[in-house]
Amino acid sequence: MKRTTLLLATLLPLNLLAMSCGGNNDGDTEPAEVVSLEFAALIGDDPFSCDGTFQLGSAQTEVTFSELKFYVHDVELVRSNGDVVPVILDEDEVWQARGVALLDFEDKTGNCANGTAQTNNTITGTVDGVYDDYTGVNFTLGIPFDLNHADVGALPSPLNVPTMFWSWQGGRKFIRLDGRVAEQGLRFHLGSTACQGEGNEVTNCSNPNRADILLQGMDPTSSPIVFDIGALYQDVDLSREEENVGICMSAPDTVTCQGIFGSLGIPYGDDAGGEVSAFRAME
Amino acid sequence: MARRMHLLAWALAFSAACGGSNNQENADAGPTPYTWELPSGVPEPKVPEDNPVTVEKAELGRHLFYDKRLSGNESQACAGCHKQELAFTDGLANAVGSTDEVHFRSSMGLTNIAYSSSFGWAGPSTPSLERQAPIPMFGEEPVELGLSSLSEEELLARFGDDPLYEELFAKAYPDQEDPITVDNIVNALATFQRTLVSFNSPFDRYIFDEDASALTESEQRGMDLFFSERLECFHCHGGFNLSDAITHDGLVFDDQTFHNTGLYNIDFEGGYPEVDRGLYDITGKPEDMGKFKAPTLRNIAVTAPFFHDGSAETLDDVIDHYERGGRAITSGEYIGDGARNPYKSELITGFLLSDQEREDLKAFLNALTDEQFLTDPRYADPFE
Repeated sequence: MKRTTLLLATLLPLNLLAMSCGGNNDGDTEPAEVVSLEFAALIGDDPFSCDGTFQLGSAQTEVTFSELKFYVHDVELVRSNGDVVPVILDEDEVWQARGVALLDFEDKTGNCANGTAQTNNTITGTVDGVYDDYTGVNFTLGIPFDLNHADVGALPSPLNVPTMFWSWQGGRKFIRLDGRVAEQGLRFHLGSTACQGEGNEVTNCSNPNRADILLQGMDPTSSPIVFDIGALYQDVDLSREEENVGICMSAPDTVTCQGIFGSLGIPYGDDAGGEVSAFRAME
Repeated sequence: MARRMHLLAWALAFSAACGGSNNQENADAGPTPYTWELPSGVPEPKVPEDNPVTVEKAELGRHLFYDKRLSGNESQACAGCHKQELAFTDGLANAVGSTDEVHFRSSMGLTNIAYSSSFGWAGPSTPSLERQAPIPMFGEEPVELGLSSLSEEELLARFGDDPLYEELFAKAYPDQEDPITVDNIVNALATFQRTLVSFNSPFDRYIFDEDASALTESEQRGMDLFFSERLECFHCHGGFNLSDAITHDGLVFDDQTFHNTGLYNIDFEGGYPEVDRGLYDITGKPEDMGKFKAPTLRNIAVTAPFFHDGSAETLDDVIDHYERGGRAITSGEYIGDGARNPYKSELITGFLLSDQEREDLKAFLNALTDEQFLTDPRYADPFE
């Protein structure tokens, strides 16, 4: 009697998991596997750092960095047969909550004095089933609409990190990348724009600016997912004699944003978006 | 959420007590847990585990906050520099202490101070109100309340000999045999300050109560400017408390932030007046020159003069400063162009406002004033 209850108790969550998953459901309850996916923030081959200088953009202009954080959600693993396996993110309410994870590469040292000492380069979760043939990963850069515009007080960490607040209507910053270029600010703040609504209630954003990232030819459980800031700026000339040359705050009409959005595959103006170069497998 | 948890805990406690007699209600009730009155969407403040907020402790703290006996020469209370009608500032560029010594800084407003992640204008090592309160009480450079001129016995005797305080301390700390201690004074002051919560401005009614008529059209246009990438105000004065230096119950990470806003550049190498160089004076790091906390902008219109040294008299002066992307001082000992301060925050790049836009922005800043907070009897002088 007792054993049956126990068994039921352990099976129930698995059944729920199985029900919530789309792919690879052949009826039997399958063991869930814990997975962790590592991210690496690189500028070309060099790791992101709050110290030192880097060459960035099409003119290889000297820059420094003082902040790098970004949110991801809807993480899926892709198997060699093309099946897609959703990753159910752990809910630690520190780095992960409500299916969203925060990656944080600044450590409050050097130029990153206005940051937090804690860092996070790994997301963890479970998949329904044990496989050894992953060949790709899909995820969305950003925070889902409902959570993005929900009141901060109602949300646990990492959705309430103050430095990631944006405007009342825009919700949160999806990426925050700060630094300096030629005595000016280097800033890329990705977030939704052209949002409509009344007061605190946002009903729609014409430019959601979330990026769907699909990476093939890698096993993300054994090889890091690379966010390549060098590739992010590859089409941006940061040496232009122009005020705010290093600034992209997701405004719909700047040359700097056009290049950056292009490398994330996000539609921008007449550019329909598509191929992503800023995220890649480790070479 | 936390409130609901409380309810649940109460319900459980009551159901567990069911069956027994119900006549112990009044006997030894203990301090009353404080109920935060917050709009939905605003988190509760972070409260140290060893100093829970209770109604009785806040009431003791309020008396102490307004009591001149809490200064060495009994001439000044905390409230001497923190006046309720001015959102707990004093209207002076530089605060003046109990011995008439002039402070190098302007009195910090206490609106929603419970949500601040650091205290004072540049206090990275002052992580709690319990650690902050002793600075004005006992500090000697400069002297503020000047309590270090007394012995501890002398200080405590001022309250121990007063039946009013005997009762207030006993109610606030019912478990303690001898509750009149410096620690308990500090904890009560911190507790009272934590209750100074302000979320009842026209802006709040617009945002949290979704009352579209709470802001005029001009104020709404000003709000759009404030939260625009063009002006960038909200990068440091964003979120529910209009400050990036915040913490609250649901926050996991310790996030202290400080910014150089280009107020000075006196040696053309980024220098600030030697009397107060902000975070640099604490850390000694060159890049921390002139960095200060971005205070909440709630009730900002009643807190003139502005900035850490009160060096801007009006909101127009403040807007001039940010519009130019830093302040130019063209004569005198502080001559220099703050806009070219190498340590200036990269978020301050300047903008150009039309006359109408400037009026709209000011209208919005005025709509951050919470009249109820400025007159709330719970925060007022109990001796009047």
